[in-house]
Amino acid sequence: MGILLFSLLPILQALRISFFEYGLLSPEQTFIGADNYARAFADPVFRIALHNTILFSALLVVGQTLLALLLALLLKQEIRGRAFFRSAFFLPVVTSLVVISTVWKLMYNSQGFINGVLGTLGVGAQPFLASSTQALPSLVLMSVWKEVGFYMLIFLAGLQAIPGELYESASIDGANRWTSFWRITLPLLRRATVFVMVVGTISAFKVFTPVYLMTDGGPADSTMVIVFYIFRVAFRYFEMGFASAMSFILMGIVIVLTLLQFRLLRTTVEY
Amino acid sequence: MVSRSARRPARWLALLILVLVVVIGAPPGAIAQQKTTLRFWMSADPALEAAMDALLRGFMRTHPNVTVQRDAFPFNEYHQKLTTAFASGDPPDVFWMDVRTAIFASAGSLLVLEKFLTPQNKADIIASGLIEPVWKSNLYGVPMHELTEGLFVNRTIFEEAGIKIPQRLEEAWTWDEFVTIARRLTRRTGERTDVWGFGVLRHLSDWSILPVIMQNNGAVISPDLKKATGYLNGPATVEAMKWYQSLFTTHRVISFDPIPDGFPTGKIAIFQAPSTYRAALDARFPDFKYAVVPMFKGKRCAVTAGGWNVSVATRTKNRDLSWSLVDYLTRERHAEWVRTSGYLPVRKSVLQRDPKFRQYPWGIFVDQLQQCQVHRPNTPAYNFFFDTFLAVARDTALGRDVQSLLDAAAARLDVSLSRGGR
Repeated sequence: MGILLFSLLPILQALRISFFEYGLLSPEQTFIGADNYARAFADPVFRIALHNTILFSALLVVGQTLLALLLALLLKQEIRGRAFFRSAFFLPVVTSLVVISTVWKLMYNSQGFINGVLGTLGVGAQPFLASSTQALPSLVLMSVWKEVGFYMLIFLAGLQAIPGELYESASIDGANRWTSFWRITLPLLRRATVFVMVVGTISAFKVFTPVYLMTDGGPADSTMVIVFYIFRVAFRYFEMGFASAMSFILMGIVIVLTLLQFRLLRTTVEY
Repeated sequence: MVSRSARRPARWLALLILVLVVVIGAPPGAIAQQKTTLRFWMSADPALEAAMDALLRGFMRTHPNVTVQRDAFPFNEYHQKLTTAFASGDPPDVFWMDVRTAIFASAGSLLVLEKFLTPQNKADIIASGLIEPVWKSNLYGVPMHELTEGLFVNRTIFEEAGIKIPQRLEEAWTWDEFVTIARRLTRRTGERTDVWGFGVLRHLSDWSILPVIMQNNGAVISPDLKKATGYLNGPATVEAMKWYQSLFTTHRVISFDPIPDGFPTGKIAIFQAPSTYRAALDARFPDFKYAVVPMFKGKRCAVTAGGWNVSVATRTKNRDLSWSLVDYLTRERHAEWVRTSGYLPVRKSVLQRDPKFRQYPWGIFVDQLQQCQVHRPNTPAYNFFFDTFLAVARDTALGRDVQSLLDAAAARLDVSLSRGGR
């Protein structure tokens, strides 16, 4: 009953609205068929937002997956301060994204902390959020830093589940560390990798807060992403029908990508 | 003799008759009268809320059967809250409304107030106050006050540099004079700027930049509010925006990133800010020495004017009472509101009565309000215009080609205007 009331019914209502012209302030709703969907695909801003969202997601998922795996491999070793480092990497995960976005915006300032560090290294001040080429990667960097701790823990759990005997046997058979990693670790981490990439992709496609607080979609629409555009269309321009249509297009894209990932990353290796 | 079983219903009947006698026979005043509640919404600001509460207490004293329930929301949430309230069918009765009047009026959310306004009442309001609350010749709000901008200068920096501080509208700097002064006051150590010559409180917004366009006799939209191409990307507008761009890129007198409290902490020498900024400065930085000077001028003087109006929802169940509240706040208590809020008067009677509005520094704001006022476009597409203009302003400040930015923005705005503001 709860799922019906709070999940399914609103989704069905949003789907219904996507076929109407509905202005929010006025109760009138005019049926326009699939016009909102056609308008979305013809809208240059929507296409830019889609492109930016896909680019952001690709950079973010690849970046955080690789870094999370690397950190997990490092923190699986018996090193001093392991518990401290695990906590330190996980701390951004539990910190408010609003706070992080606000602080990083100040850090990216032309006279902020990052440019200060670059200055001491002899590198000239960078525009970061003021540059149409650097703004999106800057958001990716912040997002990787924020979420990598969570995915690191997923990989750590996956690594710890791999029996040590497999490595011992491989070592006896003459396998070096690289071969062990490539032939044992990676295949047996596939389930964890699927989880990290699928969850990471879904989360990346929903990016909103950093754009809202740090760049407002600019400069030159270089950080305009789909959810931010949908928010604007719905709650600033009051075009609920058009916004609903874009939401369902986004949902369709995410479902297709998720199924694709499951297909490509399915594992046949068990132990 | 009456049996016990018969006595009980008889007792209840007697009690009922007694109650009825008391209720019907009692004088009218003895029955508690039902109170009417009016819901009133405004933009949040602790000082303004306190001033408003004082006015509302006065209204409730003169209307003992009325309770005014006041709610306030931060400015960046206010219009969304209002929209949500209207969309859910439960809007406030009376509320503040600004340049977004057309957005709500076009959806039938605002009551036309023309018939409630007497000719004397309307004649007392200055022309500037009757621009934003009007849409398609109908009046949808009554102004609470007016607001305009000026330049605030760091008196210490100016005195050290030996620069004369203009105090009258006629002495306003031209664009060239302003740039010369701003460049002179900008101080750098290597790549780091220690003091910026210029800064703006409402950074890169239409409110701050529209005057620059109007000062060059440019425009952003056609007079009938239906077209942007030819106006937003017209030659005069392009020229004005290029001049504004030069402040960031060529002369480098203003920072792209806003500097919080940069003016009172000596990091900005000249600061463009609304008239209400005086009160904020005096409260938070009482020892800081500053002066108010007129806004710089191009081919003509121009300063954005606007403010909060008071509107009534069409859905209100208490139209006459709502109007009473509007009239009380905007006319009866206007002088008190101006005194306690720090805003500029919008009524001629108040302007004429108080000599401080003819003297420096208030006189600068009032003269600009009456002689140089320009307004943001009151169109249902205002939010789209605001976002589009903000993006243009930012990209202009970053050094992009102004003509192509404005061409693209005008084309997008035309599509929105043709859809009736959507």
